[in-house]
Amino acid sequence: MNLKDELIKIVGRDYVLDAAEILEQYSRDHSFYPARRPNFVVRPHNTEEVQEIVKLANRCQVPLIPASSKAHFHGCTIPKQGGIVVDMRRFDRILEIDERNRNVKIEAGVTWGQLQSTLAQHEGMVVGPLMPHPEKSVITTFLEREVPVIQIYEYREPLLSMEVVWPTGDVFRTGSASAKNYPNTLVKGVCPVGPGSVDFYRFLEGAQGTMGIVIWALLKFEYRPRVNRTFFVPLRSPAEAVEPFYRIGRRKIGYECLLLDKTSLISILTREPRFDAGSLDHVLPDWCLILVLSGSRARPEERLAYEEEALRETFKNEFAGLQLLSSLPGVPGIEHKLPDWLRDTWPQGLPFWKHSFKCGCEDLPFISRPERVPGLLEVAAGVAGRYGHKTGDLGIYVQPLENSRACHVDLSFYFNPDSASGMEWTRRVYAEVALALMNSGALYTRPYGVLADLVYGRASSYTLALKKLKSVFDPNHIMAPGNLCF
Amino acid sequence: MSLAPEVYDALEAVVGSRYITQDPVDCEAYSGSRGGHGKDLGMERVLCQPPAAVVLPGSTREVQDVVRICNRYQIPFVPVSSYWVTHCAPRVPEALLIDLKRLNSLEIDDRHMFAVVGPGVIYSQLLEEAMRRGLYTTTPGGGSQASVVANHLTCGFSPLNYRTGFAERRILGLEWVAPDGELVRMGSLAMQDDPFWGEGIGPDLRGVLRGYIGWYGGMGIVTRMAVKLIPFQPERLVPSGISPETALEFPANRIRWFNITFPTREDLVEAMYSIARNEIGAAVTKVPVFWRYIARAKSKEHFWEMWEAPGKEEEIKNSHILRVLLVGYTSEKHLEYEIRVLEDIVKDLGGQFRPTKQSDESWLKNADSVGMWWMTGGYASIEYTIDTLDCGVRGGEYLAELKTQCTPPLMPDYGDPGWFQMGELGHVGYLEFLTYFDPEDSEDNIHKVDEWYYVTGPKKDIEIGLYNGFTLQESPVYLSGPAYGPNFHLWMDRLKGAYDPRRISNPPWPADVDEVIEKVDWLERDW
Repeated sequence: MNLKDELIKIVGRDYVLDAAEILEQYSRDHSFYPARRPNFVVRPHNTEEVQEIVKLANRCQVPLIPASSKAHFHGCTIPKQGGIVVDMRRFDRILEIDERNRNVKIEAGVTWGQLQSTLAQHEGMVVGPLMPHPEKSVITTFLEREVPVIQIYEYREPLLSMEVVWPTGDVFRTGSASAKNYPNTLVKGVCPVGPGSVDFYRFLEGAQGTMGIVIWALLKFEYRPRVNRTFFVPLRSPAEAVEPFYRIGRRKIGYECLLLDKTSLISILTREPRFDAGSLDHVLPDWCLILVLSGSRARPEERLAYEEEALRETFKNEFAGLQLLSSLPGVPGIEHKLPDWLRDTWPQGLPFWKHSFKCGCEDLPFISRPERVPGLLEVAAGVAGRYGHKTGDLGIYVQPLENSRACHVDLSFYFNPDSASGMEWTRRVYAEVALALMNSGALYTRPYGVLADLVYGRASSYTLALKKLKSVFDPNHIMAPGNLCF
Repeated sequence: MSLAPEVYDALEAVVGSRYITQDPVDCEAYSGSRGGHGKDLGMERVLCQPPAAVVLPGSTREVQDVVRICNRYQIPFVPVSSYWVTHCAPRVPEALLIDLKRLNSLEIDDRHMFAVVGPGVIYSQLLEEAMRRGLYTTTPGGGSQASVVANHLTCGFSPLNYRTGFAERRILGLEWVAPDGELVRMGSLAMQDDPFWGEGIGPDLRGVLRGYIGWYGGMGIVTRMAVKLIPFQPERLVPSGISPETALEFPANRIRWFNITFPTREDLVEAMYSIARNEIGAAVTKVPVFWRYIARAKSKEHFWEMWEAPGKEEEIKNSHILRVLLVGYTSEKHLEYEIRVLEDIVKDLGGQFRPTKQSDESWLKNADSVGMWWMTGGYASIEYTIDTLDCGVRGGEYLAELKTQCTPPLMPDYGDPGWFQMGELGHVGYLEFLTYFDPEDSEDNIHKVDEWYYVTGPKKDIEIGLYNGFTLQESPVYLSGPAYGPNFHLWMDRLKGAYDPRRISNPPWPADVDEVIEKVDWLERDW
């Protein structure tokens, strides 16, 4: 029996795809990485089928590339060495919403568009990254450690227990869902750690599909506040945001706190047809610090009141030179809409905000201490400038993390995906900027594509230890080969 | 028992003659003291033995060299820091004990809210410095005398986890001397000389170092760790009292404890859920009733006099006391807001505020774990479940019923379902079910305690589906392993093989209990 027949035997004829146009679709994503075609695409619909596919791949030594989203951004699902794309889109069920314990159990193919709209009916929200693509898998988002835009919770990681098919074909449940007879047990699966002396879920995070195929996961959700107050601080440079970040984080004020450059802010605001990029370019500041204060379930106005008082006091006493505005000049009414926008997915049907500028975008995410961010942005601008980039050609989003003791920075490199030379040029700029930033102290914990070679070349002892881990769980190296250091 | 001369000489060359000993008296002192979590159980009595020698390395480099020598000569080694739980003494003969107390550096980065500590630093030291800067972290159930590094790698639970979250989330950059002697830097230290960030590059190898619990020295040695600190409040907590009855007085404008009684356990649990749902509080916990008696007792005799007074069972059945800590992190008005919300909740559920001291004697800096077992002398928690609060409460009720079969020799606690609390703002709940016994009891009774501990409890967990991660150290891994995951023990074993190919890092962990059961005639393996 050939490979195709074996796959058909497992998932059925309708779910083994090898038509040229389909394989072409799976050969590329929204990133600027070169296309590579898979040999097959399969769409299983239960754990047993996934398990059989993994066992088959081990027998045949064929690469497997897990794909849970319907939109991909970093090249992780492009088959670097051919093989079978395991498309998890049929795992699209929200299995349980537990309002009492504030968690939701979802399958790997559940998208942001699907989940947030459902949770909104329960006054809930999974705290996600900044306006995620509506077709992106929620579980993949967190496995990839994308950064939540609300940072008030000390325990910011939302993933709880998971079910995974390891690259060996073994099915395993992490955390408290590992209990025998789950879910017909006392435990509900809300403890993420263990079992035993190993945090198995840590191996699946940041793994870009190399450590196994997640079937379902439980995630925390939070109360979605109804009463909000938005503030804007127009800034001339990112350096002006640094001290406010430290102070606001230390005093635990507000829900969202983020910094956007003008390019990114325009990309977001132009979702409303009444705003056009040209006009906004004239009225918006170069940088804008956005703060949203929100009320809890109980006595929401009272919570808003003490937080607003603390915020105003902080600005008055420590940042008297900065304006704390309750509306954004030139953008009437946005202060009322922004809290929902920041907590929702990007609207279905509109061009994704990162693609509105040139249709293509590759992000360069890194972590830094807040005080170092302005210097790192100068380094990036300097290198990009040598390639002819001007201010505004890069999108910049700065997200304080963990009470502002650190920052996540997203540099967005825009490109035209229809221009091969333009993409190649962007790749070159991106690689140069990435190297310069790393040499200046930027930390890459999500090393996509060219970043992987940079970081693993430098972190030799970590890389060696990681390869030992990989050999335990994937002795035949069948899972997403070519990603990371594997 | 002693090391071969060439091994001793090699170790002495690394640490110097002052920091190595194989004097039998010194070694006996390192053979596992009595009194402490699990230290009077059968496992300790059967397996614990003195090391062949003790070394006290003074740097990561020295630790690495010592571990490499152990690998070269196939010498099992056991790292220790503050000796609180079991597994602090060798289980096999001819082992080397590596005492890490000289690695005691402590640096705090106030602006970026983390501390960098060696394994010789204890919580009391860290919290004193952190609180001076308006920062804090969890003081664990193990007490403020526990090593910060060892506790972050091992356990790290306390009521304060309601805000501060799981200890494993607070581990940042670190240096790990793997069991084969390789030095691996994790988190941001993997890339730069700055430990401020914890996530790995790609898959996170922190997952190798601990899960629900750690490896108890079975997976190499962490010699330096950055740990996250959390914004607290700016006022000083003033020390008061005379040792051993000391406390930290609260600034009334920023911190308040509340004791609240409820008509029923159901009301108490609803109040806990409601507090979490409304996102207030710094700790929300229902503690074992006998802790209140410990707090009041002036002596062991006084405790028993109060505890065995007539009518105690009825009184405890109707005692539903919730303890809530509120902190004005943002401002004084933050605290005032939370008090108003708490008052609403208590009123809705028919609760009543009771007087309580506005000071801390237990959780913020002083956690006094030793005081928890003095009324019997022997103590170990049989359950340490983390899942939902409902799960914890039900689990405690099951265990209370089961415990009647083994009481005595266990201390009676009249059906109290244990200690349960909220974690991570109510997303998780926690149950700890404590077990007390007299270590000087008859041999038969001690054997009954062992059976309760090693066999009865773990089997009940599997049967009803509790997630008792912590007491993996006190349950046979070949009983619990197939039931959880499934087969988590096989993955642990493979990881052990990958990173410790010579199996010399604290053997036979994690199969200690399995070995006990094979060795003794009062426990029977039927799985």
